[in-house]
Amino acid sequence: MSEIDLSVNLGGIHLVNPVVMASGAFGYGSDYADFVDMASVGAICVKGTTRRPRLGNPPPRIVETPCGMLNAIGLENPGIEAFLSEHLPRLRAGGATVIANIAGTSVEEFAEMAAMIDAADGVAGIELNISCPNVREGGMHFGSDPGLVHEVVMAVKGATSLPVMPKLSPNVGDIVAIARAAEAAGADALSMINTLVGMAVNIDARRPVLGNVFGGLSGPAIKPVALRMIYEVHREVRLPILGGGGIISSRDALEFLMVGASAVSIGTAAFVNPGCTAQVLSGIRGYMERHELTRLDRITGAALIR
Amino acid sequence: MPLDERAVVISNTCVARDTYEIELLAPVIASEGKPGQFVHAHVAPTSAPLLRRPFSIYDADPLSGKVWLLYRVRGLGTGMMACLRPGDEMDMMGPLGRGFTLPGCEHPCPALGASVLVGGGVGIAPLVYLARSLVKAGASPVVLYGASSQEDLAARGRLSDTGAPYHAATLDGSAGFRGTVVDLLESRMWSASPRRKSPGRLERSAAASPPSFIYTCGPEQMMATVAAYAQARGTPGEASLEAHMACGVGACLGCARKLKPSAHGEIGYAKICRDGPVFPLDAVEFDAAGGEEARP
Ligand SMILES: Cc1cc2nc3c(=O)[nH]c(=O)nc-3n(C[C@H](O)[C@H](O)[C@H](O)COP(=O)(O)OP(=O)(O)OC[C@H]3O[C@@H](n4cnc5c(N)ncnc54)[C@H](O)[C@@H]3O)c2cc1C
Ligand SMILES: Cc1cc2nc3c(=O)[nH]c(=O)nc-3n(C[C@H](O)[C@H](O)[C@H](O)COP(=O)(O)O)c2cc1C
Ligand code: FES
Repeated sequence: MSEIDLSVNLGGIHLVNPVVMASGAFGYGSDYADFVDMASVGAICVKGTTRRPRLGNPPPRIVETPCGMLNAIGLENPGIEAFLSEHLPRLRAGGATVIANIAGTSVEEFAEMAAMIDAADGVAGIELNISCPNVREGGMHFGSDPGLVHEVVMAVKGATSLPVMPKLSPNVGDIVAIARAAEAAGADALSMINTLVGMAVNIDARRPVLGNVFGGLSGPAIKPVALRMIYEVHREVRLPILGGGGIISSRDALEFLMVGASAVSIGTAAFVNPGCTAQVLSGIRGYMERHELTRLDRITGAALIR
Repeated sequence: MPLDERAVVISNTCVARDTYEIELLAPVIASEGKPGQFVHAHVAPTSAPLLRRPFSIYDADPLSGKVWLLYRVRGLGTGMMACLRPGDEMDMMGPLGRGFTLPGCEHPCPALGASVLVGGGVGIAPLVYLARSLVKAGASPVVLYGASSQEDLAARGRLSDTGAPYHAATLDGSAGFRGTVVDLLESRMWSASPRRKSPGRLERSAAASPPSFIYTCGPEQMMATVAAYAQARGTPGEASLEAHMACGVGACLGCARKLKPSAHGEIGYAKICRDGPVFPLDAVEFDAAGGEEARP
């Protein structure tokens, strides 16, 4: 049997393996330096970055839910200039493949940030955060309207030669319409899914737990929703998909690949087990060995009923 | 360097009302953990509860590789922890966070003089290892330990073993001083006299000069009052804070806590897991009305 090839071409982003750190799970890399070898993951989607530094939402910002968690971080970040000058060089020195995750408050701001990233060296691709449920201006509002999705992707494509991957929100009625709009505008790949809007109540205080009232639900609780949405989109749209939402094991990851993901992202599970990306990867490799598969594209979409 | 250590349970005992002491074999955390640092424990290999739970290092012995945690059963995670039996394993990331300032770290350290450690409920946990370390460093700390009632004074045995004198305060007066631990602090009815190691008779003590440094951990309301006491007297100190955590290492930005505007006029959120859990008393904006992150 020939060698197993775990590499993935995600719409022009070359990944040595299909396991990616989801945005917001790894900060800008330095916090997990003691626990994770940055070069061992397929790529790191860095924390959502905005044009100017953002303070984020008032605490409490997280709360655990059945098999999941709600977060309302509110895109706390040091701004794109600090990302490019301080954090990117460190990530590169660590051997990471970096996908920048950007959140603009306007179409122009998305394009402006994309151009800044383009001018810097060392970013493999751009993930457009048009799906953050925790910020008032911008955020999810961009991702819920096919017309706006088209506009943002077009503008960003015009500002950079890097691969562009919008990150879709599950908080929409017709996810396929959104994916189609992104494809028509020239997106190179899709990232699916961001968190589902939810809330929790503190019954002693008789008020919402989160400082921001609503938060984004992530973790195993959202896996069935993510799988269904990727399945739907993969049937209708030709773009490669970075799939995630609740992955904690290689079995989960294989399910995502089988409904149409070309690579998988891991967020919440990394908080619980920083070594889980390595475990997921070795589980995928083990599955391929057992089934005598040498390439991942034999798995991608394998579960689709046509 | 912090790590993910597979700790083996040696014993897990109910030591007071709803409160357990778990003894674990975790040699790396035992030898590297400093007072005030915490471990992020994966109490069960299931997805419910999903997240790890943070616990202060209650005590540690680098020689035997043992670590102790004191925890109060509050919900699902601590409830499952109470079911652990000798021989069971529990994943612990740690030691994490910034601990207390100890003599030797800073020179001159005010804590070398008459430092007072004010703990409420399971908030006593980090102060026990701190007291032990202060005594070892040649300082003379006094511990003031508050609880609702005698049945809640879980740490008495381990406290007397640290060599630091301690005084208890109970709300119902069933042991030691009647009132809150802050009332006790204000009463001056405590001293650093090594003869008085147990919460026995209390008398107004001439030796109770104002503390040179205050360490505190407990309910938010209690720490707010301690902070006000320290501020009124210009006494420096440190507090160990609490927040819901996901990652425990600074990546998720979930455990944000507002600090007072710094000297530069900047206002920002500190991350309790990475920038703390221990902060200077005068840097924190305490919520005197309680706050839901209170340790009972
Ligand atoms: C740095 C630090 C050190 C701590 N040290 C101790 C200690 O030594 N002993 C001790 O008994 N407790 C300690 N705590 C609090 C302890 O982590 C919580 O009591 C515990 O997580 C509750 O878990 P649960 O599953 O039983 O409760 P849940 O059923 O999840 O919730 C009950 C309550 O516990 C609190 N809580 C839940 N999850 C967390 C979390 N991830 N972080 C903080 N609080 C949470 C909330 O206030 C919640 O309302 C510490 C917390 C921090 C941040
Ligand atoms: C604490 C936290 C912060 C997040 N921050 C971002 C972000 O800045 N940008 C973004 O696109 N997604 C963000 N996400 C969403 C994740 O990248 C991921 O899409 C989502 O959590 C679902 O995957 P999971 O269940 O594996 O966590 C965040 C998620 C969490 C839990
Ligand atoms: S718990 Fe994640 S940043 Fe503190």
